[in-house]
Amino acid sequence: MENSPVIEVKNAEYRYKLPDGGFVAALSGVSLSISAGEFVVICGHNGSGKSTLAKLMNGLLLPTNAEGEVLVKKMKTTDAAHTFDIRRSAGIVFQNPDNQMVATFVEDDLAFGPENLGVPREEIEERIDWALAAVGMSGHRKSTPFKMSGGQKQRIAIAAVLAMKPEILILDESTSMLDPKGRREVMNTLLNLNKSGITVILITHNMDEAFFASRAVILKDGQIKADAPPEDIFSDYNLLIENSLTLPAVPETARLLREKGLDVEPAVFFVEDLAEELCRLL
Amino acid sequence: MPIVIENLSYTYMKKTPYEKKALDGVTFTIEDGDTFGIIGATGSGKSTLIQHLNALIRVTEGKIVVNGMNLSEKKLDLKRLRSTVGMVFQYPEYQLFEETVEKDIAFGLKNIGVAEAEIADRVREAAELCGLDFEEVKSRSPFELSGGQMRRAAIAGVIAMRPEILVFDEPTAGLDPRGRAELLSLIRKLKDSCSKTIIMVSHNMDEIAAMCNRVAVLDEGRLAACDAPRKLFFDETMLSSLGLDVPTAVKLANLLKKRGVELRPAMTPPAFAEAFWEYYIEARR
Amino acid sequence: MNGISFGQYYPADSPIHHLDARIKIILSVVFIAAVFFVKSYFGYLVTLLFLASVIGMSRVPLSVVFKTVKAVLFLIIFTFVLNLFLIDEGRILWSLWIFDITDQAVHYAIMMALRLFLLITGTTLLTLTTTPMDLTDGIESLMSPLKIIKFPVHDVALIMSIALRFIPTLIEETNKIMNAQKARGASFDHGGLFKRAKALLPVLIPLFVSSIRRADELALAMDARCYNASPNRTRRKVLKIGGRDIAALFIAAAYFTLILLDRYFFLSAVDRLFFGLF
Repeated sequence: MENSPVIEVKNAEYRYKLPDGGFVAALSGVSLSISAGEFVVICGHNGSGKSTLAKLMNGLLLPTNAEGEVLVKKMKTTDAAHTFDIRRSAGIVFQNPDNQMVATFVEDDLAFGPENLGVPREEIEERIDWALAAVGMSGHRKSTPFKMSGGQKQRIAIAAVLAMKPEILILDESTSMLDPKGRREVMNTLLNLNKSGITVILITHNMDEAFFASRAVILKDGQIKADAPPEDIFSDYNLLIENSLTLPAVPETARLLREKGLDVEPAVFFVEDLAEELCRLL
Repeated sequence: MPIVIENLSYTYMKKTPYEKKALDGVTFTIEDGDTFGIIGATGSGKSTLIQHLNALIRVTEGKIVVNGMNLSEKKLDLKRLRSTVGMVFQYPEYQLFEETVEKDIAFGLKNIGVAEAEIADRVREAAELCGLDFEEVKSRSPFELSGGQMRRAAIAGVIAMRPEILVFDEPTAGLDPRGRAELLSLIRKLKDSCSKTIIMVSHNMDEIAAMCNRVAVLDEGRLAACDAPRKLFFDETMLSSLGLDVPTAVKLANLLKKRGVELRPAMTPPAFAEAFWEYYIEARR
Repeated sequence: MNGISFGQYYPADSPIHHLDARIKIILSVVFIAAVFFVKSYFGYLVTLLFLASVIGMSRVPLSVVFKTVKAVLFLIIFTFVLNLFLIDEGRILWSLWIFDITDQAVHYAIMMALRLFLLITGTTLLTLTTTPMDLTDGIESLMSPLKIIKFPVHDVALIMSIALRFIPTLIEETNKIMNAQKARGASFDHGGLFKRAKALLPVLIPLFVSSIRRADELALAMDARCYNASPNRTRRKVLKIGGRDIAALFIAAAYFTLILLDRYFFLSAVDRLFFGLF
């Protein structure tokens, strides 16, 4: 299997001017490499620069420093000739389920991307069917946003991006505005998509979602503070506190028990596993 | 005085093909000093219910009495009602509109007819209670503030009216863990100062478990249960059937129970840790 | 804010509903032009029959069609009365106080009122039988020759369809903002015109700000989906002209010809025969 990175961020910085003259560095000296088929979670508190990083990764934003570089499938995001190839390859889904839908009916919205790319009509129809099936929303061709829940709307947003047949899917806090049910729907969809070979990059402040990934990157104040498998991150409580993140309920319970002196495995995520552990102790 | 809700029903778009019964014979009472939670899946009627409390939706079937005011009365003193029952909606920062933060917080006070001389002080008081650096933000445009500050300014705009009853619809929506913790502690602070009775609508079971002394569970417009969290949250079957999450501590405890390990009831991770530790010590003896 | 019902799409399975949107737009234009050419009762009768048969074929209940007319009934009556009293030519039929009603005035008033009625009902039929989406597609297609002069046809059509898509969303948001302000003691139904307008600021400003934010986010999402990637944009939807559409065009052409003939050649021999007019 080819292991060349699909996304490479090299020493990227992103700063913007403040109204009163100063600069704010949303990101500084960030370097990251993501391989094909990975499921990466990028966690950080609000204001850590995670959204900026998401938009750098598909060229919607460009690094503000000369040495900074972002490569998507070996194409430079600064290279205007490749802009649309990059955006097609690395699709991005945003936070607000309402503000991504362009048309009244789902089938028209899903057609938007392929139409822009000049995909022939018959193929567009096939892609619509395929994308809807991939997110579990077959039969919703004629649905309108008014009748859909947040979770459904986000899945349609994912389908709309999938219609472009991207190899990479970036999700910029796409679960932040959803209720627990909607979040589950989206997370399951992402897992399935990753299993089918799509590289998934999930940006979130919700550590619960980190466990679905094979790799967790922690961002704080515009810099990468950690890049490791979720189990390692969960075991390092200080790391999380320093980066203004909290443990999900199960590892948190494990941690509290460890504090009392019990020998509980810190990197445990599923209730059943913790229950096993506790019974073992007794 | 308690809020008494009797047999409250509500149907949207009556006599049209889109008719929907949002509430069906809901009856319960919210006592003074409660931190009252309202939970239920999306579409269970939570929004419809709370909008009745300050007469945004008028009572059509049933009865509600708030602080002695009967909400079915035609000539209801809306200004008095809405300064008694303060309501903070989801993403309240979207309601900010004035030129300065100070003016926006004062909006409610002007509407209910508070004397000019009093307004400035109450605005300052509300802002500081909400954790805003009043001197720093008062003359700035609300749109210049950070997201967290905007939400606080919006909440200040509601509590400036000194409502005895404060209703929150998904107060922590869209916030990161730190933001959530800060907001919940703000709610506790508000309870200790001006608003003795708090009503919270939420999807987050852990939040409800941590904050509320009583909870009403709605299911498709009907009241499925109304009791203290510790009496309701241990019924895993009931909660799942209503499409609700079960607090982790409860799931853990139930799993251990199946293996013959019976712990003292606990709803939050710290409480569970304590309960397990106690059991562990006992078992070791 | 859910009283916007006049002229809104009424779903039904009818030949009119199935006609191509472009044909319907063209037919509406032809109809409007025809109504202005009509000058005789015969012409109006033909037009009324034509309209009645289209309404019948559309399977839209009369009550729904007339809902729109009811809304402007006042205007029709007003037009009628105004013309009745203001036209001076002709033989005086009645004298009421200082007003003289002449036979020409009666004739003219009826004609104008009929014209208004026909125009409104005719155009309403268009919106009743065609979804806003199809209308937009139809307009885009009819505008496409303008591409030659570099008129941004697709972009304009996209603007219209995005506006349509967001109307329900914006209505919902307006309600939410109004509720939030009402909860802070605001009132929207008291006071004179000026006061009420001022009272809308706490709703309009947040709505504008949020709409700008929406537009920003939507634009980003559109960029991310390669908007403007290629000058060779394809279209998924295909507007096909069928036999039914051709038939409709012929019938409309026949109707229009009849009206023209009546106006310029017969000038209603029928009218002269039956009403002694002209």
